[in-house]
Amino acid sequence: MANKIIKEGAASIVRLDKSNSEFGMKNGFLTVKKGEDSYDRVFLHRTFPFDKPWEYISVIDPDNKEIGIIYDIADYDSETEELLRTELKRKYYEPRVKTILSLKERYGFSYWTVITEEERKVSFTMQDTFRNIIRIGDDKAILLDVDGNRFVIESIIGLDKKSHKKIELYI
Amino acid sequence: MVTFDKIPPYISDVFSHKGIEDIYLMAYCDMDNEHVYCDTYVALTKDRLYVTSGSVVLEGKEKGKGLDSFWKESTFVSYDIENIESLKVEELLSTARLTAKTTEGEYIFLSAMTNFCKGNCNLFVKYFGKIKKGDITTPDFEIDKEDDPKENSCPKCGMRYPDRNRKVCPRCMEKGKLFSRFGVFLLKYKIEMVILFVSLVFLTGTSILIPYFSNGFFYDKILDENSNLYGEIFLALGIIIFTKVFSVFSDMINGYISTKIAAKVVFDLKNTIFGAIERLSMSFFNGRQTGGLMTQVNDDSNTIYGFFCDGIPYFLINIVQVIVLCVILFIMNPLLAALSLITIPIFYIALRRTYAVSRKLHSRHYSGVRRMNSQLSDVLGGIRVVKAFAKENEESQRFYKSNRIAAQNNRKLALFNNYVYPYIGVILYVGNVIALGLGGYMVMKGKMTYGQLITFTAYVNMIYSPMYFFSHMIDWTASTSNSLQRLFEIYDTEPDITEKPDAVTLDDIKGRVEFRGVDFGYSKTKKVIDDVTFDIEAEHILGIVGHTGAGKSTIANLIMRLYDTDEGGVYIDGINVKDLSFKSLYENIAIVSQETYLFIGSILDNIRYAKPEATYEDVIYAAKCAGAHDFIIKLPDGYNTMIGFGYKDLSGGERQRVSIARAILRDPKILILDEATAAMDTKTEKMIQTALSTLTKGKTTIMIAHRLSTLRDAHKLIVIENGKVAEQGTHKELLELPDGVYNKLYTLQLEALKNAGITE
Repeated sequence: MANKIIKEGAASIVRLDKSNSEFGMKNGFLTVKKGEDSYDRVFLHRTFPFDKPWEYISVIDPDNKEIGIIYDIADYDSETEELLRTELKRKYYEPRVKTILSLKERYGFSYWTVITEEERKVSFTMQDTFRNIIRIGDDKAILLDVDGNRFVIESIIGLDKKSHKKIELYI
Repeated sequence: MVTFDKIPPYISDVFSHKGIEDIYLMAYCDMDNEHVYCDTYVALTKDRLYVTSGSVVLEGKEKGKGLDSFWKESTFVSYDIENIESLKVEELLSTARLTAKTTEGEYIFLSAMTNFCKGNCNLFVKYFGKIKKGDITTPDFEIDKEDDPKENSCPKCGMRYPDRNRKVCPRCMEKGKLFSRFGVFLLKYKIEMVILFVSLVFLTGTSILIPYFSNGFFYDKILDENSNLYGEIFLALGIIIFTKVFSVFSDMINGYISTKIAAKVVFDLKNTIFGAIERLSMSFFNGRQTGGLMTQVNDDSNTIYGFFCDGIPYFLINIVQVIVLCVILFIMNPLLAALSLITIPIFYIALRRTYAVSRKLHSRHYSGVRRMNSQLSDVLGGIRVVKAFAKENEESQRFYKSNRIAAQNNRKLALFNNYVYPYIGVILYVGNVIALGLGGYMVMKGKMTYGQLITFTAYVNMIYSPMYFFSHMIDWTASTSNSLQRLFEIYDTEPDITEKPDAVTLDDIKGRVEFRGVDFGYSKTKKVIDDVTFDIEAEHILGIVGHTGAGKSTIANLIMRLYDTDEGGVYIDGINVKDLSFKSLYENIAIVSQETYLFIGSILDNIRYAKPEATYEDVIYAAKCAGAHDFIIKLPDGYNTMIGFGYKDLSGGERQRVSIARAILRDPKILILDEATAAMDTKTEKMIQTALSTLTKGKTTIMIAHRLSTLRDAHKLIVIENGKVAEQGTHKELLELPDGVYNKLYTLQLEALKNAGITE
């Protein structure tokens, strides 16, 4: 069955799972075969990036048309699941901040130097810091820098004391 | 070779060793095509594209001789550029990837990168296109000025500007320069400044004399039997009263002048900044909330006003007073002076530390209150929705939570201020105790008179009191320099759209509009309009069709020259809009957009905004054409009804009709209707369409509409998809394309209208 139409009426949702779709890689790009149709390049979009990072993944073709929605990447075999997970991690690349080494505010910009979980020392600049720290729930935060890079703090309370003291003002 | 990043010498060597010479372009990516962090360099010669990835490896030399570094290559690939049709930086979220499209339609993944490298890779893609086209034929070519990396980094320290559009280096900006620039605004008031200075001198002098006359002079001269002035109490009282009155008078003059100057200077400053804001191009306002901008200008001006009105005069008084008093104290009794003032540095350090904590508590309190207020205004603004969904309890809970946080923060701040500051004050009190104790001992020993001791302790107290002020002054200066910097930044921003000195003024525009190979993006990294070419004859109607976000309104913005094209040009009567004077453009083009804006004022003022000299009859005629007249006359105050913020609220359709009337009154040669009838019901829309069709006669009309039926009579239609012209032709021609975008859209809309019971 090529299409699993979940709801019909004014709009329809096409659910993708291992019974109707097959994902693969070609030249470093994600591909999908759905029934008779094959797509050489497809893109994955999280529909609920904060709540459900591995579920409700929209699969889009290069013309921005939705091919369908993966309800849960775990619905696929482990190899495909890993492939989808890697592709999603690449797209939603968000280094996790482990330590904040320095945080200085000057003339409307804040200058950060952090150590990520990959033990990389990264420096970045944020403008309008209050607005560009996106709080998710009570404890998680995403930092958006001037270039559009995203850094995530999984647990603000879990940061070491010195780091916490530095970010405290902005949260 | 042109490079957009710093390329280490060993990378140039890598290419040289492989016999690759005459590199035109090189860019850096910080990931490989597996999205793993490494160094990737993309290089371009006349006929090949190279991608090499690897990393610098450090290896120990002989013991004690440090480390050797060398480049360890993991991949090296090359492609014939004959086989590459185009390069593209595809944006993911916080990463991007550089891809190549081959002439056979295949895609090649060249490299991934974080967004740090995206801007420079986009430039690489831009110049790749030029080299491939043959526009660039030598490796030593010149890049456009705006693409030069030097333009985007501080010439002094080399740091990249945090914002490319604002060439301000936060590291190198000098506070002193900011204040001296502000001094220019003060120079206008030279006489007042001199009076201010004289009054300050008198004020400082009298404030030092008063303690002397009421203490040392009174006890040691008037009450001392051995003194010549013994018993002259009235003389003493006279001097004391006179000095006090003189002091109050000086203070009044000082307060009056400084308030007057500060208010005038801030008035001048606001006017200058507002003038600068009006001069700026639309691009400045992208990404900035206009309300936020005005609040910022107002808040900053108030900070500057406070600093110059309350801060600077008192700072000057205090600093002069402290210096003079120190000198007097050391003359009076050097030992006692040194011991009494020893607590000042300790007090100062303690106070600064306390301020640091207090500042944090203040910020936390402020952000808590801000969050609570925004939540409150959010809920009150949407009270109808809250009630409709019966969410009063949930909203109350939410408010309770933020209110509790705000209250907690407030309590912590108040407790801190109430507990800590009195303790800090004790440090100063110690100095006072020393003065009293040691001074008292000296009086008993006859080394000091009683009057001298009283005067001495009064002076010591006069030195202590400004210490709180000085400590606060540091933060005050910092926040004022921030405010000055923000205001000067607006003032210094150069508008992107400027009129050429030799701009052409066309008195009689015919109205032929032409787009030739236009590329445009609101940001350098994303094209919104991609190689768009079309033309429209004078006095013809052009319809622009496309999905939401396809770039239709952008085309209207480019005709108005609200933005300049990145590539190609927009021509009116064969003249590039960049060469036309602003007068020619704005007098001959009118736009009615989907976002109507009506200013505070009467409906009459709003309709006459574009043509203040229009007669009442003209206004009524324009309103009738726009279908606005009927609703206006039903209002009690008719055309004099006040509208805008705080006055009568018109509906979306009514606002739209007023703005159409405004455009009609202007009678332009080129009329742009950007979803002008979108907010109206079908009946009103049809009525206005009929009126507009008679009005568009003799004018070039560009109509952007979702409802395709309104565009049937257009002489030409263009269909925009993802910023490109997908189809162009007449309504009939486009319907004849079986798989055409227009055909599909039209059929869909027709069916939807039929289902809704509306026939065309």
